[in-house]
Amino acid sequence: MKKMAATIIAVVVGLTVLCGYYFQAILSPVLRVIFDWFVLLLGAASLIGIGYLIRLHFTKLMRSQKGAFYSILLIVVFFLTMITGFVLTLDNPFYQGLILNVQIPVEASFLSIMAATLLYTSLRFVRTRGWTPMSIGFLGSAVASLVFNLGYIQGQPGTVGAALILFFRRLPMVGARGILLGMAIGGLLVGVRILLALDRPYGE
Amino acid sequence: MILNWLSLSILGLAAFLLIIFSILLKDKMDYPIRQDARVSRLVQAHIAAIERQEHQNIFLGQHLFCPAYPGVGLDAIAVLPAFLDSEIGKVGGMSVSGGDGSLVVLAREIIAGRYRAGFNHQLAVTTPLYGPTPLSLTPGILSEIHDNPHHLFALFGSYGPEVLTTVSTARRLGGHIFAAGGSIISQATLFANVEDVLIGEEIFILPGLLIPKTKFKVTLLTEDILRILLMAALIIAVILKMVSIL
Repeated sequence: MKKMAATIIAVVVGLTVLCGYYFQAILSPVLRVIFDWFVLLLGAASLIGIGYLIRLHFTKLMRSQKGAFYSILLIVVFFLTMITGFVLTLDNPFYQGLILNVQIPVEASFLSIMAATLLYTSLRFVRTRGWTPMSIGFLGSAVASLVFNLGYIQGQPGTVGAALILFFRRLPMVGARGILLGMAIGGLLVGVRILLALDRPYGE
Repeated sequence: MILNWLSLSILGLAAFLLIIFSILLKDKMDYPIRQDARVSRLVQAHIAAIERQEHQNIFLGQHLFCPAYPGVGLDAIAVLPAFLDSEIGKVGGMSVSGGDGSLVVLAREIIAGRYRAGFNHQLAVTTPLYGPTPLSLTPGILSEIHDNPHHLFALFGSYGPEVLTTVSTARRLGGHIFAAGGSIISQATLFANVEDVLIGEEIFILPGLLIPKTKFKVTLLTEDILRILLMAALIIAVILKMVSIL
């Protein structure tokens, strides 16, 4: 019975949202209610998730597991940020400064680590994949795209050379669109599978 | 208006094919599941981890719902049951993590449903959330893979290129790495880094290759047909454009 109710709710809500895409004028009030509930549920789920996160670090701390020091740090900073946010509110200049001067520089430094990792792994690409048609194609198109997008190689407008350069510049975009189209088909089928109640990922 | 009708037709065709093949595959015909070396290696690594009582780390992505890549989060959830064997011992165990509360809640529901028959899943399979944002999640997973040496690290669902840091660390520490999901940038990033990575629509055929149930076989067959139709439509459109009809 519980499974049946979940399936009926999922199918009805899914079909209403889908119909809302085609008949916006008629269904917009219903859609607004559905999206409000969606946001509310998502918020509740996020709170549960944060609860799991805190419990994970408390468990680590209680069992004196490896890395417990970082768990203390996380718990202290988490509660400090949360209480400050509640007391001062999000519009407070001090709170905004805290976010801008601590969180954003930390995230920026993390991005720089990621950039360095990306550079290092790009250099190891052939060792990872070997010389296969796929790896040669990937490497070749990446290098060609970088070279042609530098803008140093230009052709006279209207000539075959210019058309070829434009073709090579657009080639990565073509590949990306192909992948996105494939993903769109896959996503569409996942949605339809759930709408037809063939798949019930929410309670199987 | 034309676009609306076109999208509605594609949707209708997909639904029609799914229903027809569901009926046919249930009774009369069968659709043989193709072999994919990358998926076979994933299954082998999963079995080896259970046999050796080693840890497995399954990451379900950053979000359940991603507007740019809809369906990827739900696809990750559909894949999860393939890894939940009753043989997972509490010595090795498995952690099924995500970057979103809703993902973790759904994963817990699926795990609880799977092990209802007396198996203490809470000891063997944990569902942690390491961080609610991409950049807080990464240090969380990094410390986890450092503390718990793993035999298998599999990434599914929606995520960005930030997983590269985690993957390169996991690779350095050993164990099998498999990726199926993510944004187009993360797919390109992981292609250069991980041997077994699924790209584009391949991500959505994974449940069909891992779980031989009718519903996934039907999706596999329908996706194959839609892919062929899409390719044919693109080629015809290009030819029509070349002869200046379109």
